[in-house]
Amino acid sequence: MTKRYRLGIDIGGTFTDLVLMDEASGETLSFKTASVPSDPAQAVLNGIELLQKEHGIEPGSIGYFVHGTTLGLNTVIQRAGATTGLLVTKGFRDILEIGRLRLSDPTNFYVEKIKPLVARQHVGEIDERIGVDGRVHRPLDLEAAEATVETLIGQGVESLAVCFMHAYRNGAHEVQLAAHIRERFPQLYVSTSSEIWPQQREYERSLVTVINAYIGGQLRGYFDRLHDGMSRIGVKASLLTTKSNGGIMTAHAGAERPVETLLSGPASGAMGALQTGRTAGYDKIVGFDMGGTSVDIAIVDGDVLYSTESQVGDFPVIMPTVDISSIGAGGGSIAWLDPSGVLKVGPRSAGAVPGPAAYGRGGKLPTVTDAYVRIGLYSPGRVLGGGLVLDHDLAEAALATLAEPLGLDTGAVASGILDVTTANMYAQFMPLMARKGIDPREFSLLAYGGAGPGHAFLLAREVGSTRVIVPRSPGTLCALGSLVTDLRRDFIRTVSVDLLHRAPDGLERELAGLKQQAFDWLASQDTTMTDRKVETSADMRYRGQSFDLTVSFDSLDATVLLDGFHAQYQRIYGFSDPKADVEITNLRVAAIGVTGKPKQVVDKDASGKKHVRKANPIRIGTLIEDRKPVAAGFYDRATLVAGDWFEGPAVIEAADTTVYVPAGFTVHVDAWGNLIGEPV
Amino acid sequence: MVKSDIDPVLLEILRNRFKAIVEEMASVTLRTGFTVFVKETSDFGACLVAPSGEVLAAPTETSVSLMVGLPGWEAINAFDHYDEGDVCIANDPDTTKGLSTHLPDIWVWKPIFVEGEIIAFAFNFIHSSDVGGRVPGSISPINTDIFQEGIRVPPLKLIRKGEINQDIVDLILLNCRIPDQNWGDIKAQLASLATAERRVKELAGRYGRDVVTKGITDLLDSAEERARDIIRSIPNGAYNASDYMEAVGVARPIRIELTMKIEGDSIDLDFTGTDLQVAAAFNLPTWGQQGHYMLSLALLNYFRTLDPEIPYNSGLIRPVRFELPLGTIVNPEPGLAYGVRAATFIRVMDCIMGCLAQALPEATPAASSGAISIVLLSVIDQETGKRRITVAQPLSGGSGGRPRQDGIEGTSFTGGWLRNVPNEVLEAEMPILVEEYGYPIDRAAAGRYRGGSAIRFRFRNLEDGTVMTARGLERFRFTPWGFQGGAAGPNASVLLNPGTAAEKSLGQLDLVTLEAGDVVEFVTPSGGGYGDPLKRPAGEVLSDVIAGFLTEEAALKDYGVVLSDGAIDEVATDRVRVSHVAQTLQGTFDKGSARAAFEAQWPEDVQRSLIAGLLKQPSARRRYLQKILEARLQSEIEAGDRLTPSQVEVWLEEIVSKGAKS
Repeated sequence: MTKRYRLGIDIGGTFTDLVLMDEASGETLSFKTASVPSDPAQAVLNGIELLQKEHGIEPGSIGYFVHGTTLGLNTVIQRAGATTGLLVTKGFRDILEIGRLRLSDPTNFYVEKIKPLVARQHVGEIDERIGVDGRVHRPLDLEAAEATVETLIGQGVESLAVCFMHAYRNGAHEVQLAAHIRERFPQLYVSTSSEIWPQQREYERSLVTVINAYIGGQLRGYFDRLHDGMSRIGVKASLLTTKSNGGIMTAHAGAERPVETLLSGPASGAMGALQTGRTAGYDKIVGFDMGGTSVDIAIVDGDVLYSTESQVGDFPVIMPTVDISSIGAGGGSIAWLDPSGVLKVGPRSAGAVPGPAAYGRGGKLPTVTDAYVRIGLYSPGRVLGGGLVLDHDLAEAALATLAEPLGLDTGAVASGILDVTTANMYAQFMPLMARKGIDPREFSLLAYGGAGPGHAFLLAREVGSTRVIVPRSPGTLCALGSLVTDLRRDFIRTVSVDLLHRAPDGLERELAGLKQQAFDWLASQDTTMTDRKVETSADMRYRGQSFDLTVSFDSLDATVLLDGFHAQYQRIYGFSDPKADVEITNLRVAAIGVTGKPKQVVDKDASGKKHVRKANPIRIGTLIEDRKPVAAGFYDRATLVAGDWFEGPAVIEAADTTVYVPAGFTVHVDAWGNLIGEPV
Repeated sequence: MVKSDIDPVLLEILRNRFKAIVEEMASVTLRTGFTVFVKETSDFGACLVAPSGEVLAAPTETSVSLMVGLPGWEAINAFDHYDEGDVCIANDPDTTKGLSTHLPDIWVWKPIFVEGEIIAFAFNFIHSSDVGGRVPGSISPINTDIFQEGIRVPPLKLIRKGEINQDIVDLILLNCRIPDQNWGDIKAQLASLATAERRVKELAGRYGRDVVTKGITDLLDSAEERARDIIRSIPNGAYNASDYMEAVGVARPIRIELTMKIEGDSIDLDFTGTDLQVAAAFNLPTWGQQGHYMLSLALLNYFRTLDPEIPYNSGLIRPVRFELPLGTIVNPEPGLAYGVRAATFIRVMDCIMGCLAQALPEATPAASSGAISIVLLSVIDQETGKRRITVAQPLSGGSGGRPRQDGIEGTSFTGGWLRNVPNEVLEAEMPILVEEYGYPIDRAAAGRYRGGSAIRFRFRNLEDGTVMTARGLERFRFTPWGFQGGAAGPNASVLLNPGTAAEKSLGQLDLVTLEAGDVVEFVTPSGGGYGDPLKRPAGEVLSDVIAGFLTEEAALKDYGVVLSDGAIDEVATDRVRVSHVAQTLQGTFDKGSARAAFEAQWPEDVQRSLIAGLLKQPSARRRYLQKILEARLQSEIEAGDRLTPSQVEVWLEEIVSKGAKS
């Protein structure tokens, strides 16, 4: 039996997406199966059985298997993790309680402070102290520490995080204590901050350590069950899992470091966007993934951007992740009137249940989706993914509740809702771009997820994007992304700020240590790689500023580093000061295990020209655009081939999405089956 | 409903667009600003101002929430002509008539032209770490006039038609201790203004100048209307509150008094009864400006709490009228010291909350800690020989208990935007070892909904000569009030070498030089409780004991809850709780015993009479008369006599006529 398939699986709340790729031809097969919330591993096994039964794919022929899970993320968001204890240096009991002090909304008298994942009584203060230089001020009192752990176990603690002051510099006390606890209390899941993420800043470091401990037991159990199940049905490929940093790791590594899976879903989407863009020849992309309540924005500027300040539920996470920002506007966002009669959209969402009125699941409030229905985006009677048929009368009825007070007809209300939604997105999108130092006029908007292609052109028009790209299968871009990514793990070392000038060889030693860790990790990953490499970068800042920029470098030379820093600063902030003092705060190394890449399918008819033949619409329908009825061509995605082109206003109907192209854009199909929309 | 030519859909689009612009302005400043106050405490601001001078949009997600209500008209009218490409600069409270309220705030503004006409102005300020003056950092409570506080920049054109006036830059920077950082800050501000200009022009290009202009008017009107709706829901009446600052350098505590009159859809804030301006840096130079941002924040917070989607602009403050007697600390005469005016601003907020509490007892929290202090440390850098300054921690303290929630631990609405400093970073910057940073036990005021906990911050200094300042810490003597039966909040304390023979209270310190081995311990004040502690469910009291906020002794003493072996002794608890005399606590304040003792000697009507009498005297003589009169009153108090208002009047008359004769 020859192994010749790659299988990518993305486990969502409702559906589990599977993408099967033929390694030889690059052709893909995508389908969905219902998720099993009580046992997510089961949905994966169900999917593989389905492959065998309906498509004749032998489990043994799957040579490469990557899956993405939201189990860790959901456990944090639903606060459903283990009863976790935290051991800290004496005097820092409230490390999690205080956090960074700032209130989420200091103007609101009823604001709630974020409740930590560890109850205050489950924080144990340990007698030990290490100084900023790594020197031991007070030795670890192991006996007292053991007694503290026993007390915590007596209170029901199942999992432990250890975070001592300056453990990023000297982790000896953490390591010593963890080893002791693992031996004495093997039933506990133990994470230490020096193992998880040794970066200066005690709150943020303790937080990632605590999250790891909080979800660790569950994830370990899940990976074990999945592994056993796959062996049982005959899948021999190594079990790989996607990570927040856009890479993958073996399930074994995932069980030890589940905190690295939290944002793997959107990260895979961004990797899919990167791959789509690279193939099609675009390297500046803003990914636009619209769901029911929010839009996930990812940025590709040559490569995906990484962030060290992402948010997971209530908590900041400082480990590198693909930079994903959420904008609070989605297809389920509810339209309403404020007390002065102004039309507002969101932030409340109808969610999946009851959902938009047009879903016919009992929702009565008008939503963005109902507005799409009313402007004519969905042909009556059209069956959407999952068998859904939108009810135009219910959408109309919901919109009518706003029509009278606004003094507009329902069509104008629908048009207005879309305009306000776009303005909401704009209001969040533009400051976001400013923070990243990105001019959206230089970027293409790549729309994915089920709803993204419905709104991308409207936002592109406002923010001035050069083009809109809709990939061939926007609904399964995440699963696809996971199939083409590499093994990746990030390493960090906080260094003394003046090493750059005072002791460059000290810096060199630190870097060599990090690289060694990186290659050791790659060696421990039990899967096939075509190449192993590291990427090096440094966090730098002007002396006196507290924001770092991460600057990539090839050689650890002060001039190279400084030039790189000034150039990047100039790009993001529009000025730089070559005379000012610069400090280095952290060294970073990314270990990358390159995996073999499958071939890309190219449309046989591709001539390389954009506009070969004008496509024929399947029908001409009426759309309401900017409050006026306009004639729009409706196209069937399945019949569009490379070289086809048409003009907006237009609607493209596909199995997994509906694309709305307003007037002012021309769209063509490129050689890889992407729809490329450009302003006229 | 707002009568508008623009439809409600377009209005919401414009509101979103303006919000995007001001948030972007703030983000640009935050990322590129240099001084510690920008990066650690978000003490900067950005906004868009209508040609009329009213703020039309201000950020709510980044930066200090102090923009709405700024008197933009004074800045705008400082020049009779603007050209495209002009940028103005100023930091002087007197010549900007209350736009700036102390010299470290460097303001810049820029007209935005569309088709040859000014459509709006962009404004930005940064609290600079130093603008020269008597002390590093420019702020000292014991400064007595503005000339000790740094360089004064009246409204000037920093940039004319795109050309920078280098002379102004050179003059400003020469007068500051950290010129490079200040120049970095000014560049950050210019970047923020340039962003605003570009975006507003794009907006006008997209929707047309007239639509944008009309939209600005309508957005202000709609905020006003929404604020009036809220005010109509507050019961009509006159509500009075007073409180004190224990300002260092001032003999008698500084009194703040406020009468809030609600009538229909408008609010009158009458500060009659508030103390005279002082020869210390607590004066708040509002210039009597209506709606001044330093006096409005608590009301704006209240509006936003009830209506989070309310447009955030100066329309909100139109229904509010201020009565600010000239010569008082909230409307001082020119030339005084203003550095620590934030302490006054915070106490004014407490008084506004005190009035709201009477008008809306079921909606208003008890008093918050009522103090913000930024602890700064500095050492001489061994290598460069220059002084290095670092924020150690911002200290504030918890909020009051709330009508349906406990107070917030460790911080409150007053300084809720402050971020702390990672102690690991602090130890890398300064030669100290942090020994504790957390919530001390039994430092949360009792209540049905208890106050938030205080914060204890203790560190050991490792090198001789570390200089520490901690300005603005308050509530050492008087306590934040509890409400509806809740207890008053805990006091502040600052100890040097606690628990040793050399223990010393530093109290309201200005500047201290530490020796190696010295330990300093701060405990912040914290908010009062809300509601009767005896009504707090015993289970919640037990939870606080388990979590380590409360000792078993305090559970019994403050809450009447008897615990044994970590469980509630129901029978004993019932017995203790029943034995307490039921009293009507509805609407009552617990202002603490220290205040009661003080006011037994200095009754409120006596203080009112003193202040009113002095304000009638010529301004140049007031301080002299005040000194003599207060000395006489003090000796009467010490003799055990009870003061009365009429007596104060008589004595003042005597002193005045005696002075006139001699």
